[in-house]
Amino acid sequence: MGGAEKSVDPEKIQRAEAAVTAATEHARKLPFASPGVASSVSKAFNATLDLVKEHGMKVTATLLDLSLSRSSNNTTTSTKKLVQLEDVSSGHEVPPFVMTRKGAEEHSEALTTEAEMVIARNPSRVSSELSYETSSSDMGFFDRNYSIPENDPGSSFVSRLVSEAELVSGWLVDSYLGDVISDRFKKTPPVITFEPISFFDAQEKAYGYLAVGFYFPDTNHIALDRNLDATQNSIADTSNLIAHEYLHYAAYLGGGTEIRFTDSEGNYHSGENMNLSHEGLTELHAQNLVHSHGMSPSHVSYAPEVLSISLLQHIVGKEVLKEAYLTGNFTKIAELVDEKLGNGTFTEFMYIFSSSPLDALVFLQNYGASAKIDLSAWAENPIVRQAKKDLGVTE
Amino acid sequence: MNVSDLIKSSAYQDAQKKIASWNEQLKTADNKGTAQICDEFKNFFSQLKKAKPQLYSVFRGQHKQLSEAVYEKLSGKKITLD
Amino acid sequence: MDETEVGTKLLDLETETQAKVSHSISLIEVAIADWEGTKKKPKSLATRIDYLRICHGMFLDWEKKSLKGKKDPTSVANRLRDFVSICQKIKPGEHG
Repeated sequence: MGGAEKSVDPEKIQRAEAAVTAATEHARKLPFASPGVASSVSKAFNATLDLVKEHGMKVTATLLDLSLSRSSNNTTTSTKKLVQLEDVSSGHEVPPFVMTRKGAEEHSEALTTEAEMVIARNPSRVSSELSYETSSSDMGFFDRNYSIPENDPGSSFVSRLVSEAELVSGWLVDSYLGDVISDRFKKTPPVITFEPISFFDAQEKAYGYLAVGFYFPDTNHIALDRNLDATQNSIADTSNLIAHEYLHYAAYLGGGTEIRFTDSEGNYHSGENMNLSHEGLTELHAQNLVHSHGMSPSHVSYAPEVLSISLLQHIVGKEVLKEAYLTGNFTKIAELVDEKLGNGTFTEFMYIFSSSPLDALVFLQNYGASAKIDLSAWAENPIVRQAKKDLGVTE
Repeated sequence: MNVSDLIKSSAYQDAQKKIASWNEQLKTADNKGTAQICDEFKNFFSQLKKAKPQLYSVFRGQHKQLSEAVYEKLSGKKITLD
Repeated sequence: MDETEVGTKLLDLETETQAKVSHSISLIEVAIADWEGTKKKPKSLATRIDYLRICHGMFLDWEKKSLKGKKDPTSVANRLRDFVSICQKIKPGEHG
C-alpha cells in the first residue's frame, strides 16, 4: 500500500539555478571582470595584478604607484624597474590540496564521474568500442602511499609498480633535487593511485587523449595505469614513466611549472605557451635519471621536444638546465644561450618551440653550427639516438 | 629522412596548420564548441596513429596539450596528461 | 590607496563572494539530493542536474581554496580572478 510515487521537485532545481545566476552576476561586478572597467580602483587593481602575474611579485603600495604610472609615458621605465626587483617566485611549499591515499582514491572516483558527465552531455561522442573490460571494484588496500586493490588480476603487476615507485623515489635525493625541493617533497610526498583502464578510457572519451599517467597540479596526486605490466613494458620503461610523473610534482613544488626568464634586452617572458617545453624538460630529466642508474628505456616520450631540449642541454650544461627546470627560472639559460649564439636567440628559440619543437631544433642546430659548436657529443647521446629512432629520422 | 625534410613535408605542414587552428579556436570556444573541437582532433590523431605511427609520435606532445586545454576549459582545473 | 586599504577591500570582496558560493552550494546539494532520492527522473531535467553538478564541483573547489588560502592581497586577488574565470565558464544559458 502506498501513495503516489515521489517526483522530482523542479522548484529546487530552479532555486539552485537562480543561486548560480546570482553568483555569476556577482562575478561580473567584481573589479577584475573587465580590463576596461572605468574606475581608477579597478584599473589599478588590474594593472597591478598583471604585473604581479608577470613578475611573480607581491602587491605593494609601490607597485600600485608604478602600475598607475604605466598608463602615462613611463611604461618602459616602470617595467624595467620592476624587472630589476627580485624574482620572488619560489614554487609551492605545500600544494593547496594535499591528499592522503583515501583522498586520492576519492579524487580518482570524482574525476571518473566528472568525465562521465562530460560524455553524457554529448551522447554522440560515446563510442560503442571499449578497448578493455571494466575491472571489478577494489576490495582492500596495502597500508602505504599507494592504492592497490586486492582480488584484482592486475595486483601482481601493481606490486611490481609499487617497488619501482619506491626505487625511483630513492633516486630523488637532496643532492638531485636540492635542499628546498627535497624538503618539500619529503614533507608532502606524492600519493600514487593505480587506476583501471576504465579510468583512462573515460578521460580519453571526455577530453580526447589516452594517457597512461596523470599528475594533478595543485595536489600531490599521481595516477598511473595499473596495466603497465612487465610483459609489455620493461622495468626501465615503467621506471621512466614513474620518474617522469615524480618530476612533474617536484617541478611543481620548486616553481618549475611556471617557466619565466628575463632576456638580454631586459624584457620579461612567461606564460602558458611554455608548457610544451616543460614536457620535453620533464621527459629529458626522467631519461637522464633512469640512464644514470644503469637502465635504458626502450623509447623516448615526446621525442621532438626531448631532441630540442637535449640540444639546449648540450649548449648550457646539464646541472644548469636541471636547476632551471626545477625552479622555472630560465634567465641564466637565456644568458648562456645568447652569449654563445647571439642576443635574442633563446627568446626566439622558445617562441618557435611553442608551436613546433622540431622547427626549434633545426633553428638551434643552425645557430649552433654558425657558432661552430661541436654537436657530435650531443648526437652520440643514447637518449638522442633513441628519440631519433622513435621518430624515424636520421639526423 | 632527416628532420629538415620532415618539417618541410606536406603531411607535417598540414598537421601543424590543423593544430594551430584548434588551439586558436579553443581560446574562445564555449563548452559545446570545445567538445566539437575535441572530437575533431581526437579523430584526426586516432587516424594518424593508425596510418602513420611515427608521424603521430611527432605530434603526440601537441595532441596531449590540446586535451589538457579541453580539460581545463570543461572542468576549470589544470591537469598534466602523459 | 595604501596597502592596508587594498588588502581590506579585497578581503571584503572575497567574503561576499564566499557567501554567494556557499549559498549556491547548499541549494545545489538540496536539488541533487532530491533528484537522487527520486526513482522517476524526467529526461528534461537531467541536463539541468548535470549542469548543477559541474557548478557544484567548481564552486566547492574554489571555496576550499578560498577558505584555506593565504590572506595577503596577491593571493586574495588571484582567487577572485579565478572566481570570475569560473563564472565565465559556467555562464547560465549555455546549458540544458
